[in-house]
Parts: sequence; structure tokens; C-alpha cells
Amino acid sequence: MTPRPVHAVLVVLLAGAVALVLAEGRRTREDPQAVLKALRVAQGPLLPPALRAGAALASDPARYPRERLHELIDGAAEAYLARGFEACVAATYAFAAGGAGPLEVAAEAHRFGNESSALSQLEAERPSAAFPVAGLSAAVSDGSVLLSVAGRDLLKLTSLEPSARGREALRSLALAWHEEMKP
Amino acid sequence: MTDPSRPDVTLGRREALSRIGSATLAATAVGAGTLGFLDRRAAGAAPPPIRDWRVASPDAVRAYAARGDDPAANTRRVIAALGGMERFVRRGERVLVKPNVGWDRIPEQAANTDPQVVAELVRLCLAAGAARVVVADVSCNDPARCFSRSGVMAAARAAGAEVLDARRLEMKAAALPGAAAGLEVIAPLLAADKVINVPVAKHHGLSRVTLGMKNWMGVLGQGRNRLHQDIDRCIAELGAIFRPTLTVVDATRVLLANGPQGGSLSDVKALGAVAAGLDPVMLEAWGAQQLGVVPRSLGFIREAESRGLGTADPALVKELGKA
Repeated sequence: MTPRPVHAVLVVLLAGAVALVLAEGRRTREDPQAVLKALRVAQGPLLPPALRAGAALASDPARYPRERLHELIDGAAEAYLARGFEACVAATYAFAAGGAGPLEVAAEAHRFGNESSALSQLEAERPSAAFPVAGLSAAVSDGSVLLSVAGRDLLKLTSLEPSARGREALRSLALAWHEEMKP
Repeated sequence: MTDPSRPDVTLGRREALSRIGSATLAATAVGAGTLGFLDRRAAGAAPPPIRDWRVASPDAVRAYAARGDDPAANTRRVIAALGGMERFVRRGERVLVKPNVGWDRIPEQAANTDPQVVAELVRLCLAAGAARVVVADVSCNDPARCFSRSGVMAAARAAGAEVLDARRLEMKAAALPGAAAGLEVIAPLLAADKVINVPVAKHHGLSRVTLGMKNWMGVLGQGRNRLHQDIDRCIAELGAIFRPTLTVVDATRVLLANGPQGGSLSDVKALGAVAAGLDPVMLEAWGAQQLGVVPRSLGFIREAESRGLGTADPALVKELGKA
């Protein structure tokens, strides 16, 4: 049988298909953590990973569905519910400090129905002296509270010590959270 | 014919009537006793009403405000202007001091009543001869963290109070009308001879402002969230149910936004003020004014005034000035 140009085209197409399958297979094999992360994110809002932020959890994470949000934030819950709040997880973090006692930060991650609702809640709660946080998009802080949005989740961090190390603790947790939320 | 193996059980008419009479008497006595017992139990199960803890006062001025850097000194001055704590608390009485300790926040964040105001009230009650002063609140956040972080636990204990957080609070049924019907209240409230309500003046996302009448939410148990459904009417209802001996409004620092939880220091304004008095609505109006809110623009203040619970005129609070 005499080779024809069409045979060369078929060989190239076959090689391309094999390369595509191999690449796809390798990508899937390399990414099980991403799959797990996607599954976790789909289940509900995530808190910042403590270790990555250089902190430890000082309280067990508590989850609040729509029906129980008032137990966490009392009357402020109504504004969240009106914006399509779905679920929240909250915990307190502790940062070890030299001579001083541990610095604690209260964290709440709230999930809304969509990103614009999360951003709208951020704007509603923006502290009067808030400024954008360097290195983070959709994040503002006045040094005592940090608010940030990733996708349809709003992270609210409250430092329980008004100090420079308190501000740094907020930033560490926010950076760790954004890293965790990356697709 | 008589069977000799069986005893003779024949009764005469007189003996039969006697036995029937005795049996009837015994049955009546047992029945009456049982009914009486059940009746007493039913009466015992009825929840007690909420007492009225107010004391009579002929004074024209029913509230005072003091300003200065020292919250304890401000508290002493307003109580002294009212005639001293001895006018309100008698020797041997049990006093409940009810601050707002709802949040896991430090004093600088102004979400809770200032610990120095609470502690000074405890000292004044004990100096007036109170046998026992209890400080209690049903916190929203974890109670241990709230009482510790707010500084109220340490300050009130150091002043001699018994501090009860929500994990140790016994709840009891009480006869509450309106939207609060069926809810339980903290047991120390029912046991108190005198009650001092010590709210912090702050913003609230739903009612715009939270002060003394809203602070009564913190004596209620599970299910209290339903009062948020018709917040203005429910706050006024709480003001009608709970009539404290004294209301002391803490405006040492006020939270101007993002209440009731707060957190941001840039939402806080230091006013260094404390007001106390016998008219809860007047103090509510004074507190609203400290937050820059026109008192009668608040639905719950209008409702409370229309119910005759007090006068919503902050100008009637006599300012003592700065120390």
C-alpha cells in the first residue's frame, strides 16, 4: 500500500489524541488535593487554615445554618439573611507571643448565594477607618477588623487585641484563607 | 342449715350500716386528700409573676448623667445624686446587677458594659448592706469567653459579686405575657429583691439602637430570638414586663456602627459618660442621644412612651458635668 498524505494526517491526529489523553491523565493524577478542596468548598464556607497562618485554633469551629445565625450575631443576622446568607463557620485563633499572653482573633466565614451579596455585606460592615489590604483583592481593614471576599464567601476577622501584632495576625489569617480558597 | 366448716358471716342491719358508713367516710377522706394534693401541685406548678422592683421616689429629677475619664467615679456621682444606693438597696437584700455581656469582645470594642461601671455598682450595693450581689447575663457568644474578655468577670468578682455566666445559670419558668410568653428566665432574677439594669449604649443592626429595654433579652432563655420578629413592639413589651429598681446606662464608650457585636475600633467613640435613674424610657432617650439618634425616631421608644412606661425626653436627665 502506498503511503498517502492522508495517512500522515491520521498519524498526526492519533499522536495528538494520545498526547491529550496522557496530559489529561497526568493532570488528574497530580491534583487530588484540588479535587478534595473543591469538594470541601462546595460543602460550605471554609475558615483559614491555622497552621498556614502560624496560629492554632483556640476553639472548635462552630457551624451556623440560616436558622441559627442569630445565636452567633443576634439582631445583625437579619441583614445577612436578607442578602441571601446560607451558612457560617466560626472559630477563635490563638497566636503565640513571647512574653505576652496569646493574641486571639475571632473568625467568621459566611457563605452567600452569590458574590455580589458577599461584597454588599462587606460594604455594609466596612469600618469607618478601613483601608484596602495590600496584596489582597476585595479586602479591607482598620487594624481591628478585616473583611474579605472570595467567591461568594465573606471572611470577617476581629482582633481581640488592639496592637501592631493584632493587625499582622489579621493579615496572616486573610492571606492563608485566600490561598485556601484558590481554585 | 349452717355449714360448721365456714364461719358465720351474717351481719346484722346495724353493723352493716355502720360498716358502709365507715367505708364511705374513708373513701371521702382519701378522695378529698388526693384532690387537695393535686390542687396544691397544680398551684405550685404555676409560673411565678415577674416582680416590680421599683422603689417610690418623690424626686422631681429622676435621672442624672456624669462625665469624666473614670467610669467608676461617674457611676458613684450619678448614684450619689440620686440619693445614694442606700435609698434603693436595704440591708440584707439580694441584688441582681444585669449588664450586657453578650459578646466575646474587649472593653475597647464597646460591645459590652464597661467592667468598671459594673464593679462600682457592686461595691455600692454591698456598702449599702446588700447580703448578696449577683452579676449575670445570658451571653450570645461563648459565655466563658464573654465574661472573661469583657473584663466583667474579674472586675465584678474583685468588687465582691457572685458572677454567673450562662453555663451555670439555672433557668426557671415565669409568667411572661406577650411575645415572651412561655420563655424561661434566669433564676437569680426571680430570687432578687432589687434589680439594677446596666446596658451599654450601642448601635444595633435591627432596632438601630440597643439600650436598657433590649438588655432584658439577656435574662431570657431558649427561643428569645423570636422577639426579633417585631422588634420595636417586643422591646417595649420587655420594658413593661421588667421594672428595675435602677437603670444605669454606660456610655463610657459607644459603638456607633456594626452593632450589636461590633469589633472595629473605628466604630467606637469614647464619651466617658454614665447616666442613672428611675425612668427607663428617659434613660433610653438619653442613650439614643449619645449615639446621635433622635430618641422619638426609634419605634421602641415611641411604643414605650405610649404605654406609659416613662418620658422620652433626654433634656430631663440632669447633667452633672465633668468631674
